[in-house]
Amino acid sequence: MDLILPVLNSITLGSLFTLMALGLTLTFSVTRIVNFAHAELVAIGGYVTAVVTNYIGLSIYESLVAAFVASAILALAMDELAFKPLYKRGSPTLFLLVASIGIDLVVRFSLFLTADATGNIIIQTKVPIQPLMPLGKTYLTTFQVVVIPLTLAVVVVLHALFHYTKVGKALRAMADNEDLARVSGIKIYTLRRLAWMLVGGTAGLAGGLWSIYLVIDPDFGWNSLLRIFAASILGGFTSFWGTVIGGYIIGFAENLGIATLNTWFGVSTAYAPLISFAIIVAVFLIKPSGFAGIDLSSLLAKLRGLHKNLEPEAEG
Amino acid sequence: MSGDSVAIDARGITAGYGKAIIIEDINITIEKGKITAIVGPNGSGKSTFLKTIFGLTRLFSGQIICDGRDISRLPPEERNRIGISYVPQVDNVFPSLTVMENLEMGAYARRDKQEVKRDIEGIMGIFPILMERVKQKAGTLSGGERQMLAIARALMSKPRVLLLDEPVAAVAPKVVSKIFSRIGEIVARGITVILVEQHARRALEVCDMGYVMSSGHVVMRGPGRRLLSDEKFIEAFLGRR
Repeated sequence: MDLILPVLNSITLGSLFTLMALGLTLTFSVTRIVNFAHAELVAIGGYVTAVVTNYIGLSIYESLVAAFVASAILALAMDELAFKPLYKRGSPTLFLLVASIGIDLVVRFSLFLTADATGNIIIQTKVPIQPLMPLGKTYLTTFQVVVIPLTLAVVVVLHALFHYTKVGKALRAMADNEDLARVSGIKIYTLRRLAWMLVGGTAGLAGGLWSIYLVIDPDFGWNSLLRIFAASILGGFTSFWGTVIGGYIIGFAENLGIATLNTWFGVSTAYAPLISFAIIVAVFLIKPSGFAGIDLSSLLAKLRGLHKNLEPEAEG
Repeated sequence: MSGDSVAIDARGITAGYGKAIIIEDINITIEKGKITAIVGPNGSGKSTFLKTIFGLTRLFSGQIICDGRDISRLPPEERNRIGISYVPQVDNVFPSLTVMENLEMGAYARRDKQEVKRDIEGIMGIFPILMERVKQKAGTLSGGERQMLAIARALMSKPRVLLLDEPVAAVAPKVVSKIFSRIGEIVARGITVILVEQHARRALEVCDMGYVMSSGHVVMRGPGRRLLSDEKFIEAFLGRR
């Protein structure tokens, strides 16, 4: 059995889920909002990319920049018009969650109306995906050589931002303790705006890439939400690297999992999202803190201890 | 007391959370370069007063004057920028940030990079234990180390006034004297300290001026040593031996 194709597809899907989920994790870390409207940041990114490429005729890279900017502006608007006023009133997390569902509905059906009126209910960015070089019995495509390095580049840039810049460290500080951040002179509302723009931008970029990969409709963000949540929840909902690992696990689990179930048990591939749902349930039952709850240093210390304990036996 | 010698003047402060009033008609004058202690039993409103100076509560009425300027409506981040720094009783470090990153966050509003570097070295001189923990995450420090980091973080903003909320609560007894001697060093550098403490005796021994709070009101005031020998104070707050 040739494993190269399914593995390559899984990495591609994992990259897209990672890009989609990073923003959700950042949202929760910084603002404590479980944002269901994140789905629409992805969807708008997809539509902007498709429209700008297909109708305006800009290059795909320019369209992806447009998607980044459009979703960043939408994310900022969501916060300024809904979340921030509620937060300032001291609304509990549940209210913010319900508000996010409301925002999602407003944006999704606005997108539906616009797409319907312009005859774009179903659309795909017209960028041909071509085989680039042979890899076993399959080909590495032009899409894969863009999406995988691009995702890794975004991850590296965000990591560098959070760990090596003053503003990034302040964002982490704010995620740790907002009051203490204010007490330390950090202007939390300025940083909050920056965080929302990063959230929207990465989600829009992911949506744009998705619209090259597959046909999209106004529901596609909402339909991806389960996978986005699964990746973020696997990462403990607050861990940056946990979300990256989570995104790839979801990519592999859905892609390989449904193929296996289909081959062995005849399960329809339409049930692929059930795998993400099962992962969410399993994480909540077994380790609700996800990868964020795993103390790597103590785990390594335990492994070293185990290794040392085994050494004399091996020698004897 | 002349206006020039006053660091903070709290005039008729009534404050609380939401609709609840916790402290009422508080008048406290903080003298520059001195330690002012605010003592009283649990729930007397000491911490609420400190938070109010920093803008973390709802101010119903009254004024907070800092160096002649009314800062009552300034957001907390702006109060930091005008030279007030605050060390909360709990949750006073950023646990997922390293010790060094915590110190950098203390200096967030400063633009003088080179001087910040020098100040970090200076702070390490006051709290040598932090030097050994520079790359360690603050969440993994002991209670005493955390408290020292919290004070160090607050000092990094180069404050003129430092607000300390029960700095030795939940700290091992042998660390308590260390922290108090560091507070002495801080005042020697010309920084005004407002110290909120539940253990009245300890705080009044080191302070220049003391205020006693009970049920949201200031009920006694005077130099620390005088309060410690005041019969009424001893009976009500320290208990007879």
